[in-house]
Amino acid sequence: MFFKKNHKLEENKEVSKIVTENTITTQKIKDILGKSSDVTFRRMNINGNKNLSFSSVHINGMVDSLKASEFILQPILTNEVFKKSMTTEEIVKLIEEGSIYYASQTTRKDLNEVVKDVIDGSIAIIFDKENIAFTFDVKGFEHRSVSEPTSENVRKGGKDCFVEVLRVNTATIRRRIKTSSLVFEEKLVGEQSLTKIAIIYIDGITNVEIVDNVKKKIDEIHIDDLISIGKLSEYITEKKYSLFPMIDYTERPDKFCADINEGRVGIIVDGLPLGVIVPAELAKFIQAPEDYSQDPIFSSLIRILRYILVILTVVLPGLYVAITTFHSEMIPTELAISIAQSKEGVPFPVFLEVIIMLIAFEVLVEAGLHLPRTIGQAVSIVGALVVGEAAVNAKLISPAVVIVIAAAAIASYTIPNQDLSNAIRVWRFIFVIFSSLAGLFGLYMGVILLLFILARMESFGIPYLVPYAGSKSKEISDSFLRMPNYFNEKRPSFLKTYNKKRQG
Amino acid sequence: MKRAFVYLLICIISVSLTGCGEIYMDKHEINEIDLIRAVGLDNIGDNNIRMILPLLETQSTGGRGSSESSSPGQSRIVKEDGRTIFEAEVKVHSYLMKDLSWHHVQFVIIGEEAAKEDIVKYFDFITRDHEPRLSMLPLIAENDSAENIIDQINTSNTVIAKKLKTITDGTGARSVSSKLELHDLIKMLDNKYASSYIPSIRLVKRIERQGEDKDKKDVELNGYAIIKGRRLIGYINDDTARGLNFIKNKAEDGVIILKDKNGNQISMEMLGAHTDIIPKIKDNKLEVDIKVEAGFAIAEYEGYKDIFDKKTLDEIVKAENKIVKQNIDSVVNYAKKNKADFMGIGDSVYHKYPVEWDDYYKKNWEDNFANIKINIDVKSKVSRTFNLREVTRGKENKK
Repeated sequence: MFFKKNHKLEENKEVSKIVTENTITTQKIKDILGKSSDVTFRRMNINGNKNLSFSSVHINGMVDSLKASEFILQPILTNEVFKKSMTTEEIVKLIEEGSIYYASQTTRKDLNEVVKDVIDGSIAIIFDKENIAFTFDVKGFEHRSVSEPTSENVRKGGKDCFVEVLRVNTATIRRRIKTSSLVFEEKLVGEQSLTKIAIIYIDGITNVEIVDNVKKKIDEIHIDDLISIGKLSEYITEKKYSLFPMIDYTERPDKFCADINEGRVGIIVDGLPLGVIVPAELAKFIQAPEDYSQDPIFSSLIRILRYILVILTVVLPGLYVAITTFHSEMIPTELAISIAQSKEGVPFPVFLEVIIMLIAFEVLVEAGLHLPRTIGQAVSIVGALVVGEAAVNAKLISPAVVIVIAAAAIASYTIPNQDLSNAIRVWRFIFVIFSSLAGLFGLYMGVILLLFILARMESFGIPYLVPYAGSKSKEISDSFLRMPNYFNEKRPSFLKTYNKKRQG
Repeated sequence: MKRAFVYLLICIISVSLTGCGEIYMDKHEINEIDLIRAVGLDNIGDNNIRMILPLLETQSTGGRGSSESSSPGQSRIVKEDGRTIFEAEVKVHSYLMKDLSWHHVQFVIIGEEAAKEDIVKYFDFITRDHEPRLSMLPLIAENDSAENIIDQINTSNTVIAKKLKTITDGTGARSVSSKLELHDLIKMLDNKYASSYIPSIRLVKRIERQGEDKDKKDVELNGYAIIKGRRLIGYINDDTARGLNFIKNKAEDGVIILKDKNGNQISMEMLGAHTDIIPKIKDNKLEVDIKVEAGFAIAEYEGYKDIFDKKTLDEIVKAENKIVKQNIDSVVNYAKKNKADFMGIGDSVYHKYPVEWDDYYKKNWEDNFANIKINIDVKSKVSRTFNLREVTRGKENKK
C-alpha cells in the first residue's frame, strides 16, 4: 500500500501514516484505521438504493452515538430531500448545501484530514465515487465536570475551574471575554499524542512579538507526547536551569482571563486542567488573585506581609546560622543566654543542626505528597513527635533551631505559587552554606548572587525583575501594595501592549 | 563553565579581601562562649589589678518536658589577678572551658581603690578592644571594693547583671543618680578643663533572706563619685546629687516634702525640670546664670482642710523654689570647694564665648572657676493639685 512506516515526521505533523495518493475511499481509511478494534465502519444505502451507498466511520467511545444516529444518519437515510435524488453526486451536493442540518459539518477532500477528524471524535460520511467525505463533530466522551478549584482556594472569586477538555476550557474563557478580538489559535504538538494546544490572546492588545515568540517556541517542540505542564514549560522557556518559574499557571479561569486582558498570552493544553500564562515576572508569583477582591488597604498590608515572609523564609535559616556562629553580639543578651542554654549538650554545630532540620522538613513534605490519604495521619504524628519532641529531648537539635526552621517553613507556604516556593526552598540551603562559611558577609554574598541571577533572567523578552527594576513608579507601587483599581489606569508598560489604557 | 569559574573566583577573592584574615577561624558557636554581663575591677596594691567576672552558670534546660527548671542560678564568680586587665583576661582564658565574650558587658564596677589610683587606666582595655561596647554603664563602688560588692550581692535566684539593671533603670524615680554610658564618661574624661562624675553604688540591706543567702546584701545607686583629672576625690549623695541632676537636665522624678502653716506635710511629686546654663560677660567679668524651670504636682497631703487656694499655692511654689535652689547650691558649693567643674559650666562658656574662652578663661579654668559668680534662678510651679474631691471628712471640720 501507499504508506511508510517509521518515517521521520514532516513539518506539519500529519497522522503517522502518510498516504501518497490523497483520494478518499473507504478502503484507504480502513487501511489506516482498520487495525484498531474501537473503529467502527458501516456501509449504508440511501432509500435502499444500492447505487446510493455510502459508508460511515467513527471511533467508539469518542462520539455520542445518539447524536450520530439521530442527527446525522437518520436524516440521510430518511429525509424526503434525499429520496428524490438518483445519484450520489446529487446527494453530495445536497449535503454540501446543508440538508443535514447539523451545525459543525466539514467537507473534506483530503484523506489525512478525514482520519484526523475521526480520531478527534467526528463521524465521517464517505462517498467513494466522489472521493469526498463529510465529517460531523459529534464528540461525546466522559469528562470531569467543572468543579471548584482544588489547589487554589477561592474565597470571593468564580468557583469554576479548568477541566481536561480543551473545548470546555475555551468556552469558559469565551464566556468571560466576549470581545470579538479574542483569538484562539490552535496547534498540534506531540508526534504520537497529537495534543491540541490553544494559544489565546486579544488581538489589538497583546504584543505580537510575544505571541509570535510563543508560536515559534511551540512549533519547535518535537516530542512524543505533551501530557504534563513541565514539558511545555521546559520547551518554551529560555532558561532551563534557573530554578525559578518562568511561566505562570492557574486552574482558575478568572485569574487566567484577567491576565489575558492585561496583555499576556495564555496557553491551554488539551488534557491538562490548567491555563498557562506567559510572560511571567517574579512579582506576579507573589500576587494572589484574591488580593483584587478584597479591600485595597487590607490587601496591601497582606502583600507587604507576604514580601516580608518571602524574604524571611529564604534568609532566616542562614541568618540564624550566621548570627549564632559569628555574630553572637547581635543577639539581645537574654536571648543569647537562652539560646546558649538550649544548645547546651547538643553535639552538632549550628550549621549541621539547621541542615538536618531543613532536610527533615523536606522529607516530611515529600512523604506527605506521596502518602496514601489513609496513613497520612500516622506519618504526620511520627513527624511531629520525632522532629519536634524526640529530637529535642534527645539533644540532637536545640529547640531554637526547631522554631527557626518551622517559622521559615510556614512562611514559605504563604507564597501563592508553589514553583516559586520550591525555588526558594533550594536557595534556603545555599544561604545556610554561605552563612556557615563567612557569617553575615557570606549571607550577603549569597543574596547578591541570587539578585544577580534573577536580574539576568528574562521571560519572553521581559525582564524577570520588573516592575522592581526599570519600571515606572506607579507600577512598582502595585507590586508591593495593592493599589485601588482607579489607580491602575494603564496596562503594565513592560508588556508593551498596543492598547495602553485599561480604563477611563 | 569558564564563566562559572570566574564567578567562583570573584567570590573567593572578595572573601579574602575583607580584612578578616581568619574569617573561618573567627567563628564561635553560641554555646561555646561565656557571656560576660558585668565586670568588676579592683586595685589590689603592688600595681596589680583584680578582675572579677560573675559568669552565668549555664545549666542545660533539657528541652521541653524535662523536669529540670531553667532558673538563672547563682553566678559562678571567676577572679583573676594580673598586672594589667588584659593579662588577667588571658589568664582566665587559659583555664576557662569557653571563650569569653565581652560583647554583652553591660556594667563595669570600679573599686574605690582603683578609682583613687587612676581611673583612666582601667578603661583603656575596655575602650581599646573591639568587643566591649561603649554603651556599658560604669559604676563606682562607694567606700568598697568591686569584689566585695559582687560577692555580697551574688544570691542564688537573681543574676547580678539583672540586679544592677534594675537599679540603673530605676534612677529616674528619685533623681539622685542617673544612667551614664561609658562613651559619655570618656568624653568627660577627655575634657582637659572639666572633671567627671560617675554614678556610685553601695551595699545596703534591703531584703530579708533565708538559708544560704541570709547574709547577702543589696545594692543601692545613690549619688555620684567625682573624678578630678584621673582620680576620685569624693562623693556627692542625696540632695547634692539631685542638684547635679537638675543642672545636667537629668532630673525626672522625685519627691520633695514641704510643710503647710499648720505643720502638715505635703508631698510634692516632681514632674520634670529643665535647666539652662547661661554664661554672660558683664563688665569684663564672667557670670553664670543657672535657670531652672520645674513642675510639681501635689501627691499627698496630711491635713484635712482644703487649703489649696491661690495664696497657699504661691507659698508652696516659694518653698519649692527654695528647696531646688538649696539642692543646686549645695552641688555648686561642692564643686567650687573642690575646684572641680564636673557640672560642665566650662563647656557652656566655651560654646557661648569661644574666643574669650581660648584667650583667657581656659587657662587654669578649674582653679578660677571657684571665683565665678553663679546665680541660681528657680522658677517652679504647681501643675496639678489633684483636688478632685474634698478631703475625706473635710466637711465635718468646716462646721
